[in-house]
Formats: sequence, C-alpha cells, structure tokens
Amino acid sequence: MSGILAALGAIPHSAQAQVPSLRAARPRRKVLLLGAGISSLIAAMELEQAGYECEILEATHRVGGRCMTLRSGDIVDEIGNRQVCNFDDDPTLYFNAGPSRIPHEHATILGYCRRLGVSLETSVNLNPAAWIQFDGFNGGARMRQKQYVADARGFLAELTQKGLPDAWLDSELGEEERDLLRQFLRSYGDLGGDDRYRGSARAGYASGGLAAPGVLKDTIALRELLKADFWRMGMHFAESSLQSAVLQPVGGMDRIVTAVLARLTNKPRLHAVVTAINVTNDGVDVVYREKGEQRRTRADYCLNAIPAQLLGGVDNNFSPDYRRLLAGRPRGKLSRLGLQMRERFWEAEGIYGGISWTGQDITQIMYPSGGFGSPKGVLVGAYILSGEINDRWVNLTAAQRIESALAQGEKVHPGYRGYFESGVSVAWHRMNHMLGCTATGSEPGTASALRAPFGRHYLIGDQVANYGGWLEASVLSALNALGDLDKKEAEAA
Amino acid sequence: MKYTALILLCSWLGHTTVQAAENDNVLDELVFCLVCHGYQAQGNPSVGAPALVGIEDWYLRAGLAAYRGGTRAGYAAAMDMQAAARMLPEDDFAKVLRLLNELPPREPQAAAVVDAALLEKGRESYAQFCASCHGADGEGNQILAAPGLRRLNDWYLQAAWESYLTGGRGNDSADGASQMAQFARALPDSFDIDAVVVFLTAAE
Repeated sequence: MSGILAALGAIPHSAQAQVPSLRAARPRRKVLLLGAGISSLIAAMELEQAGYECEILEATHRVGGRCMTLRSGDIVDEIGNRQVCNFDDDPTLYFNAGPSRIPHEHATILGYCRRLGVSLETSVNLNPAAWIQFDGFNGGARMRQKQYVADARGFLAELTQKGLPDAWLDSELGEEERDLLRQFLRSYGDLGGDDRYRGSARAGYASGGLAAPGVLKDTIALRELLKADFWRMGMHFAESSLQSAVLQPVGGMDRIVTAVLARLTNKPRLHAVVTAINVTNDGVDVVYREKGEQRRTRADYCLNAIPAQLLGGVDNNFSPDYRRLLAGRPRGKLSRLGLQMRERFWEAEGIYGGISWTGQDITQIMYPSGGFGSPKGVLVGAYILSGEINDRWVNLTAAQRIESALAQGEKVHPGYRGYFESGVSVAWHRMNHMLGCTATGSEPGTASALRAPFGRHYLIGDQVANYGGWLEASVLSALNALGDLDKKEAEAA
Repeated sequence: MKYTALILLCSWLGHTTVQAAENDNVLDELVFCLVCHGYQAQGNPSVGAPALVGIEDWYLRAGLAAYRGGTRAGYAAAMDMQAAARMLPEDDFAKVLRLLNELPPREPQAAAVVDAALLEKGRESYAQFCASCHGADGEGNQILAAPGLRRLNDWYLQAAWESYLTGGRGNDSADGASQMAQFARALPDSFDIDAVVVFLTAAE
C-alpha cells in the first residue's frame, strides 16, 4: 500500500475552524433531515452531539447519496438500468461511482476524516506515464502523456524565445533579467544551447535510457499536437485544486459515510419518500410515504438535501421566488462506469494510478491508486463529463455501456476486452430519487439565494454551493445551516 | 448483500411474497413513477415530467406504448421516460392506473393574473382550430385519439406543442401523435399557442 497519509498532522489545524461549536440544545429540540447524503449525516452528527433529537428520512434503499462505493452485491437503482455489482467479493475491488478524490484544500472534510478515524491515502490524479488517445491525432494511436507535454512545452519555449520582441525586452527587463528569462525558457522547454527544441528525455526514450544510452524520440510536429483535444482539458486539469496527487479514503469513499453512521444514535430511515413540506412559524411539517403508507412528522427545524429538481414534485409552501430559483437549477449530468479486470495489465505498461484521456465517449480511464501488484483491479472505464455525450450515453442499456466501454478502451489498451470480468455503470441523472447531480450554471446568485434559510427550513447539499460535486461543498452547506440554526436558538433562549 | 439485491430487483410491482420476506426493501410501487412526475402526480417541470392525475387511461396507455415502441424519442425527457417504461411490466400498467386514480384530482396551476384579452383570443383560437378534435371545452375525444387538454400542465402544453413543431414528437407515422404533428405544422402563423394555453389553464 503506497502513500498512506501517515502524518495527518500535515493537514492544517484550521481544518476544524469551519465547524461551528453548537451550544447545548434546549430540551426536546428536534431537527428533521431530508436525504441521507454526506451533508445530512455530518449535520446530524453535530446536532446529536449538541443534544438535538434528529430524524433522517432517506428515499432510496441506501445511505450516502452520491458518496457511493460499489462492491460485490451492491445495487444500482438507476431508472431503466437497475443493476447489481458483480465484482468479486473482495473489499479491495471497489468502485467509487460518485466523488473519488479529496483535494488538499478541502480542509473541512479532511478534518472530519481525521476526527472520524478514516484512513486516507494518496489518489494519483496526474500520471504522465498514462496514455492519451484521440482519433484525429497520431493516426489514432495512443501516446504517453509525457511525450505530448514535453514536445508541446519544447515548441512553446522555442517559439517564445524566438518571438520575444526586442523593444519589449528592452523596456521591461534589465540585462541580467533578460538572461534569466532565456534560461527559464530553456529549462521550461528543455531547449538546446541554440534555443532550438530537438526532443527531450522528458518524453521518454525511443530506446535505451538505463542500461544503454538513451535515444530521443522524434518530435511531434506542432500542427499535429494541436489535433489532440488533450490540451483542452486533460493536460491542465490537475493544476487546479485537483492537483497531481489528491487524497482518498482507504477502501472507498463511503468509509466516511460508514464512520459517521456508526456515531449516530438515530439511524436514517430508508424508503421514506417525502411528498410535502410545510414550513410554519415555529417548525416544519413533513408528509412522507413509507412502506406504502402516508405518514407525518414535525420538527423545530428542517435541513433539506432533496435535490432541487425533485422538489418541483414535492408540495411545499416556499415563496414563489424560492420556487422559481429551485426550478431554474439545472440537472447536472455525469456518468461513470467501473470494470473489474482479471489482471492489472496497466501496471505491466508502467501505469500506477492516474488517468488516461481519450476523445471517445468514455473520456477517461482511471487507474486504481492502491493495491499495486495485486492480481485483479477495478478501473473506472468511463467518466463522462460532457452533457452532450451523457445525453446519448444514458440511453444505452447497462450491457451496451459495458460493450461500448470495452470497444473504446481497446484503442487505449490493445487487448483490453480480454481482461474484462464484470462491469457496472451509474448515470447520476437517471438515478432513482436523484435524477441529477452537481447542479451548476443557473443565473448568478442562485446558490447563495437557495442557501439562505426559508424560515426554519434550510436547503443543503452541494446543490446550494458555488462548486457542486464536492464533499467539501456538501459539508460546508450543512455547517452553514447549523450556524444559522444555532443563532436562532441563541436568540430564542 | 446479494439477497438484498435480488429482493430489490424483484420488487417492481407484484412479487409481494418476496417482498414480505424482507420488509425493509419494499419499494412503494407508485413512487417509482412519482419520483419524476411529482409525489402527487402533479407534474414536475424541472425534469420535464407532466401531471398524470386526471389524464385519460387510454391516453396514458398510448403514451406508454409510444415510449416502449421507441416512436416517441425526439427530446431528452422522452428518452428518460423510455428508460422508465422499459422497467414497467405490461400486465402491471393496469395497477399503476388504479393507483393513479386513487390520488386526489388537481387543477393545473394557472397564472394568478390572467390577461383578459389573451384569454379571449385563446378561446377564439381554440374554438376555430382545436375544438373539432379536442372537444368544445377541451374535454378530449378518444375516438379521434385527441386527449383532454384541461388537466395538462401549462408548461407541458407548451413543450408538447414545441415538439410537434420541431419533430421531436409525432414524427413517426406509427405514433398516434403523428396526425397532431401534421396538423400543428399546417396551422396559420396567426395561431397563438400562448393564448390557447392561457385559455386551457384558466379556471373553468
């Protein structure tokens, strides 16, 4: 096991600064939480600790929301594509169908991992040894990312070196600085002493390198480099908070869910589907269906993680403005597919973690960042970000999706299909009781307006965050609600 | 875990003996439809799923057949519905209809303030172009395969109209909606769908 984060002390102590310290609850104060995703669960844990009674209603058959790790026997309740995960019964063979990465900046969720004793390890995000494959580039053949990047940087550095206007250099830089800039560009692009780029060991050698003298690869023509859409996203995606190495819980993202759940006194009730929400002056009334019966419950406060796109079908007494904002929140679309492979053939190709990028619909192949050298492994065989591709991809049946992922994967890894054992896919915008994820792109200010309390009702979840799809965003939305709830309680006390 | 999976996969309508074996995993049957169509079947514009209460059984059946047969496929919500329709066993549709009929009837939400001139224009347009098939007051006519229009959501009337015009719906001659698509495209430019929708959704 590589990269277990031995020194959790590396995470800044400010990690906990975001967590409100709730004052002790007054007697018999109750909070109702709708949906048992990470935002509700963390909120319930904080509330119970402060002495509140919590009731969590969850519509699906499971706890965790999109924080979902699939293992042997797990159900995917996707409308039109119900599936059972048929991976081997082995805890190391898992597939994070939702979030799989925690960036170092996400201090709040990392702080909770520490508090909950959830072990973390490195998740390799950027791996220059992984492949790129684009049909219009390099004759459709795969290429190591480092070769593309080395040549792209080499040419850019050479062009810059040639093209810097003397007048600009004279006015902006002194003699010494001009020399430093030339050296910088030589280093950045691995240019020769004459400032020409003729290839680089950074691209990997054509032959030799360790036991024999290394022979440089031929450079790729600049016009050819432009044909690979790699530069649009894959080449730079790991330069944001999703940096080259991020973090993941050892054994699957849902280890966080399991850990929170273990601390809750009142566990979430499953198959409890909310049908009406009525916010009153001193609390919130909720009608829900459970086991074919209509039931009612009431609490002093309600934290609501029901997706905005479903709230349009839940009777409520929200203000017209609030309802309009909810209705305008678009359904985010993301899909992932996991493949159990009987051999870790990618490790034989020198790939240990990271992502290969392709211009085909599957978009990405993600390799496991742990369990190196073990016999079998689970790949993320598709992670589709484009709404347009998702629109057509979801219409494939579960079996067709696997077939398409295998056919496309073959271009990245010849012989791919031969290693396949079983697969499972999740299209989040078709998932029962969800029908979407990571809503973004509404009119500006929507997220903050939806985050504002509506009486004693708070909408929570990444849907009210400015950056959807992250555990951190979900948790912060819950803590934001708790802060306001605590303030209201202080005023009432 | 495997046992749980089996129960859930079997739990769609019927199979009550299996369900009873593990009460914990009973899916509320109608909830399957209501997730998209609203928990009172009142329709949910956010996911493009129309109201199902108060809609004629024959029209619901025709719609389902069009989704099943793949002839209604020209817009995103139709593809969502195709996927859902695939999971609904033929014999259980009667049960869905019965459950829908048990839900309280609802009027579609009409605009709070109705423009009287627009309403009048809609009434005239409706009488001239729509009434011969859909009935004098929008009550529908099964013989002509023309559904009632009074219980349909205003946003749905607009969306359906748009997809008739653009070919998203009724493009396949096997689909009963093809005559409506042809008719829609033949209407004069003076036909004002906004006015007709105001008329149809105004309080009766």
